[in-house]
Amino acid sequence: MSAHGNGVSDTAALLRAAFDASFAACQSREESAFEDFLAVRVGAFPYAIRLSEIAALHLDRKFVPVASHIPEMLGIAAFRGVLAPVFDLRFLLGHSHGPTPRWVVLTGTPDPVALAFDLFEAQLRVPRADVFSETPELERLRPRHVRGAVRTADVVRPLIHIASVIETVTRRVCSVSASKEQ
Amino acid sequence: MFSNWTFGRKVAAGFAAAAATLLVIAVVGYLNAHRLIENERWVGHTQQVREELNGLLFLLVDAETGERGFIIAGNEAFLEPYQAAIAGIARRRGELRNLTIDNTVQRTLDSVQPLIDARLALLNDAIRERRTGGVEASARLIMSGEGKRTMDQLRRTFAEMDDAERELLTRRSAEAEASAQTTKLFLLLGSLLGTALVALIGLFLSRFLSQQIGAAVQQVQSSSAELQASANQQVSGAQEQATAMSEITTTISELLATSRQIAESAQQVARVAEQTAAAARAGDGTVEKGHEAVTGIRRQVDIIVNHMVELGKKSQQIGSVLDIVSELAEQTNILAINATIEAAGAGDAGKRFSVVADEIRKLADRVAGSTNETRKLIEDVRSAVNTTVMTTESGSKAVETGSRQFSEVADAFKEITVLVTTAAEVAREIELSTKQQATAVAQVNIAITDVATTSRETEASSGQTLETASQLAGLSRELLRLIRPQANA
Repeated sequence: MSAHGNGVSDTAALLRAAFDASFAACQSREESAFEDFLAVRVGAFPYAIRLSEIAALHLDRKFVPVASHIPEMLGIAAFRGVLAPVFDLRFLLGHSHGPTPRWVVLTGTPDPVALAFDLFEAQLRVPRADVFSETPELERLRPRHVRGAVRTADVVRPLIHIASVIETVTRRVCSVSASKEQ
Repeated sequence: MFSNWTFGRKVAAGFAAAAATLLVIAVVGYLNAHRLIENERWVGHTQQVREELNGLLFLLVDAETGERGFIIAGNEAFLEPYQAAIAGIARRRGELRNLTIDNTVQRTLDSVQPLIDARLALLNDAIRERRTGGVEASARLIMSGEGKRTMDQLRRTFAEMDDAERELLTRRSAEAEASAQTTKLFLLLGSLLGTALVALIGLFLSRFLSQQIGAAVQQVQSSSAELQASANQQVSGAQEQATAMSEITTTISELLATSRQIAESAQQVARVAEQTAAAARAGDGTVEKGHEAVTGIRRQVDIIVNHMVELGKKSQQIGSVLDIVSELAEQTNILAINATIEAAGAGDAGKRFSVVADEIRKLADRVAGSTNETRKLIEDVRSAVNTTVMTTESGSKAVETGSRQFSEVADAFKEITVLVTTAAEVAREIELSTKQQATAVAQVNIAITDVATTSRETEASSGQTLETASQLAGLSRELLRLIRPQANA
């Protein structure tokens, strides 16, 4: 018990030292050599979202259901005073449905769109060398809205192409609107 | 009517009928014979009357012959027929009177008597004249014709009497012939009738007796066959009974030996039960001490369980605090990520803020990691506490069960003591009962031995009965064959 307690104290000391050192160290590293991603799970499958393509990450936001002909639309939600439609990434990526997803990312597009998914795992800072635009396997499978992959220590995560998702959503909305007008 | 008659009665009735028939025939035959004999006697009587009449007439002729010879010769010697006839006439007159005392000849004879006396007187007168007057005197007397007339009248009268007797003879002969014919006819018819009647009675008796005796013999045959079958079954049953009795005797002997062994075993059981009762009483005290110790353990275990439950509750509270810390770390992480995004959007101005946000995110990650580790530790603690609580509760239950079992064991020991005491008494009673049973079984063995002997005797008797029944069946068949030959043909 005392040994375990000593271990925890050492960990706390290390954390404190690292935190202090981060402010003391100079900004000498090459920031352009790394790229930030969000490690998420859509359904049971691991994915990565490029951090530069989103505007915010939220948890347990309340979705207001609206009448819509678009089945992948969960409703609308408010994000810091901005109303955005919320779409289910599981539906858009072709996975099976499940419980209402708790996590939401807000896209950084001019008309922000919220994309809901099941689990946020971590933020990843990955060297650019580990970011692939295409892989032979992805090229063979051609999954929807996936452009490239990110290799981490334990798994290679397909990279969700937010722009492609937005384009699909926009096309769906336009087609529904057109059908309504007709 | 005859079917109810007994055998002897039927035979007696048959013989009585035959005897009555023979008696009637005999009586009628006797009467007919008697009548025939009587007729014959009367015929002979009539013949005798006729002979006497003829003899009297001959004597008269002899007297006349002697008278005439004397008259002619004058010799006294010639009077001898006369004198003999005089004597004979007197005798014959008496006999005729006796013979004709019951008929009309008697009256005729009475009327002839004076004529005979007159003729004899004439003859006597002639003889006297001859002696006194000579031949002429007597010839004159003869020549007077008185004598001839008297004699002629006598001859006619005798002829009439003879005719009457001949007619009577003819009538009596006819009666005798008729009686003889009647007797012959009656004897013939009676013999035929008697023979036919005897034959009928014999046939009747034969049929009746054949039917009745045949039926009885058939019944006897059937009964003897049934008796034979029954005797067979009886023999078989007696043999089986004898065999069973032998087996029972053997079994009873084994049972007797077993009863003695049981008595000995019951005696041993009684001794062992007494020893067991003493051991159970000693074990009862030991169990009581053990029960007290288990009760103390149960109290300590209850205290431990309470402490462990309290520790579990505290661990649960720590877990709740960790949930809050984890939630804060997660929110901090989200804030740091969003700050990083905002800093990136701020360009170069946000770079320093980006560093701070990144460090905050790292710190939040580490807090989250430490929180997770702590949660795992808490979970381990809670799991250990739960396991300990469950184990302790199981132990408590085990102790409680042990305590209850100790109580049950104590009760069981007490009950064992009572039961063993009872068992000892019962074993003694069993010993006594088994000894009595052994005595009874010995008596039963003797009785069964007697019964086995009786069974063997019964078997022998049944064999004799079977033999007798077989002989009876043979005799009945033989008798039936004698009575109804066609039945066995």
